[in-house]
Amino acid sequence: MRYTFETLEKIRGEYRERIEIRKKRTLEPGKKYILTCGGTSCLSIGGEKPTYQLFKEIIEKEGLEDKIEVVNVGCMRMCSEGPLVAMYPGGVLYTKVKDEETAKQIIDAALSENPYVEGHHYKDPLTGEIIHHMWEIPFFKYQESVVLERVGLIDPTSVEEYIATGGYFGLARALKMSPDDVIQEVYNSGLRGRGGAGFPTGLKWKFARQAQGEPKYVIANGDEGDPGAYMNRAEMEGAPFALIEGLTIAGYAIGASKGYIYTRAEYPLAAHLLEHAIKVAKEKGLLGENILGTDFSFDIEVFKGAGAFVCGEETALIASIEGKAGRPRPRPPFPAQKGLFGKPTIINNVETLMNVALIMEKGADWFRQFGTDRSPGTKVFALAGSLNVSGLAEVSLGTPIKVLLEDIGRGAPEGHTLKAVQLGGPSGGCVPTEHFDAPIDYESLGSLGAIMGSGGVIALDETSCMVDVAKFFIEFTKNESCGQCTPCRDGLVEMYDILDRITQGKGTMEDLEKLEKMAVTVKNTSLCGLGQTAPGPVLSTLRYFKDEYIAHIEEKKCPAKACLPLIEYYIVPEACKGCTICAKNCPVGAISGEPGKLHVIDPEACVKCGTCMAVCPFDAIIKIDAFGKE
Amino acid sequence: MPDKLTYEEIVKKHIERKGKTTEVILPVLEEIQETYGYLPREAMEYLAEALKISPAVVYSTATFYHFFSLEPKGDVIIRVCRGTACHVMGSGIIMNELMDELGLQGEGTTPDGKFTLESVGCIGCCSTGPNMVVVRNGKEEIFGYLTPQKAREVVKKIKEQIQSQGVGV
Repeated sequence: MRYTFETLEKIRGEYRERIEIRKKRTLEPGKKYILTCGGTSCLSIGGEKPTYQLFKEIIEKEGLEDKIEVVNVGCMRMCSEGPLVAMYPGGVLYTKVKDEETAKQIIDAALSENPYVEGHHYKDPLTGEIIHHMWEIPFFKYQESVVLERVGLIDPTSVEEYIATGGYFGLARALKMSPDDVIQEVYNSGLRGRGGAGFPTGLKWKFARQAQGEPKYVIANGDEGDPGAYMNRAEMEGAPFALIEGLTIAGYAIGASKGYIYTRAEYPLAAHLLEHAIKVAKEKGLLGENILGTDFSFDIEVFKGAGAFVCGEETALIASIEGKAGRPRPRPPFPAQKGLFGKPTIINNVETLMNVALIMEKGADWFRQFGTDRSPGTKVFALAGSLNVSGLAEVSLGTPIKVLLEDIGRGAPEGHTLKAVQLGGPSGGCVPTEHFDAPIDYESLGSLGAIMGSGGVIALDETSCMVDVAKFFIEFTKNESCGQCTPCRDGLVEMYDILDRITQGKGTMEDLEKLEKMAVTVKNTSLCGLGQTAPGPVLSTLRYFKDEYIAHIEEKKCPAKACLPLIEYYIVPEACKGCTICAKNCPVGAISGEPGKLHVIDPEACVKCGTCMAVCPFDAIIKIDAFGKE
Repeated sequence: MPDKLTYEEIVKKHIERKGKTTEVILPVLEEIQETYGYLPREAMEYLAEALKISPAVVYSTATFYHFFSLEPKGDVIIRVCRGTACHVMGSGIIMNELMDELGLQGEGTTPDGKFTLESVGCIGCCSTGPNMVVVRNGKEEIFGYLTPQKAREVVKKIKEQIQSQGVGV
């Protein structure tokens, strides 16, 4: 059946209850909903069977279909506690659900008066308190739910559930307006590109609408190549219809009839769910010919990248769809004038387009209640690294960095102290603790030497060496450089060589000067965004952590004890009990000693894998400075 | 694998759907890579011929992207995530451990053609790192929260399975 404006209302009415029950915060008798997280992270740490299947099989076997319905939803955000399962009404959150036994316990508990299962709830690392209900957990309490509201709530394969949350009402409203009015509404919302650069979305659309040339194209940029960022993947996996709706609105606004969703080959689940959603949307008249019975027609195709970071740059992305090597070209002309196949094209980030669908549904004023005047709305961040709790966090723009790290992420694990946060991936920078009060918005992060980027947030503690972090990113961008322009192709290699020398204790103070000079040159003279931003990690660490560079050079010492050439593993004689566990686990047989007697590591044979330190039950193995001796 | 298409069929299928446009190059190469495990030279030449373009254009694209390989890969592909979060959690040590277990000096394929070890751009499971992806028979499995021992055990288990039941397990 093809939907019309009226059917949307009807479906929303029919399915509303199914959705509303999943938002109820109080325990109630009656039918229960079990939501299982179907995100890639939860699947990666789960047991043999996906969580959804565990529950489905038990419920079918025991004939409990009338009492419990299990729904496989998108990412439930708190990835470090996964695999996650939630029970509604009530919002009871179960953590680390990996096996049939636990699934059984949860089902029994859900059907009883006491829905809690010992050992499978969130325990706050700071207070020790066990918190059963999702909305009381600090990780969720400090977040906004705008873009992620549907992710983790609805079945991503069900268009009806999406409609029940207000889905497709944005498109319906847009289709009743003129394209120019749609662009004006998006412009008024103040929405800025969520891919990192922060260009006003409404303005980009206006340029493309005014540009001459037919046909026009719209592209959703889901080429989330930043190591450490995965919000776009979760968004595409959890609410594929929202992206399709946003892209369709963009197509209507600029007068395009064809759209692409460019995603990564590394995200097979996202591509699969998007393709499924496109098929369903076409069957329902929400995509294809005469959308919702109007004379607007629009088609979308999923395009999978082939593993090139530079293709996140818009002109390289276009080259890639055209079948060429993904090399950027100079701008202007901007894609809005001459883009895919030389035609006017707009490229928006996945999260930008999901915001568009919400803005068209709820209005520009609604959107402006979140965030700041210059950076309205929310942003989804991927928290990882040295944090007690990590996963996806959506907050209003303008929220201080420390809310993300301390209130939501609950700080560094016991025994560790945060020293910096890396924001924006290879194009971003490291911000030290003294700036954790700074608000997260495009301008403040820029002034700190970082960028918003796509939203990767990696917390670094005292065990992370800032020179090594800089080297890691330069190695990444060096490998990902398309090789077209000299500053990026050769400059990054030169910078890498210097950093490599420094981390081996072979650097000189002249190297340091040269490194800084080179970084500024690459930044100022590269052709595209990759090269222009690649020195960010080096420049920001030089700005805030120059002492670490100097320690590597002058003292031949890695203060974080992370650079392997500068450290040795050592068994503290007083602490060693001679239990032989280290010797048994050493992969190269570098540890000798008799049972009950002191063990010794042969530094010549040791490959510094750290296995001994991890397995020692007495914490007798430590890292010491090797002072650059080979 | 059921109904495995030949490269000729893959090329024809995409051109039928989209016409003779360079837009088909990446999707065709991806499907050939997935089906054959690498891009045979004849397949690239066939695609160029079908699109009436120089084989150099196809070759340029094929060699630009990490996803493509011009050499056959191992039956089992192990991809260690090289994302930032995995790096700070110790993915370098995991890589070394796996090289040791597989007897490799770096990334590459074992002489018996059974295993290929490579690094992969961030797979987006940053909260559960270090991670690796194991690809067997076109099926991907992700392993999170790795330690050197756990990574080695995964490979050992696969080796045992191959010995007792062949690759297709």
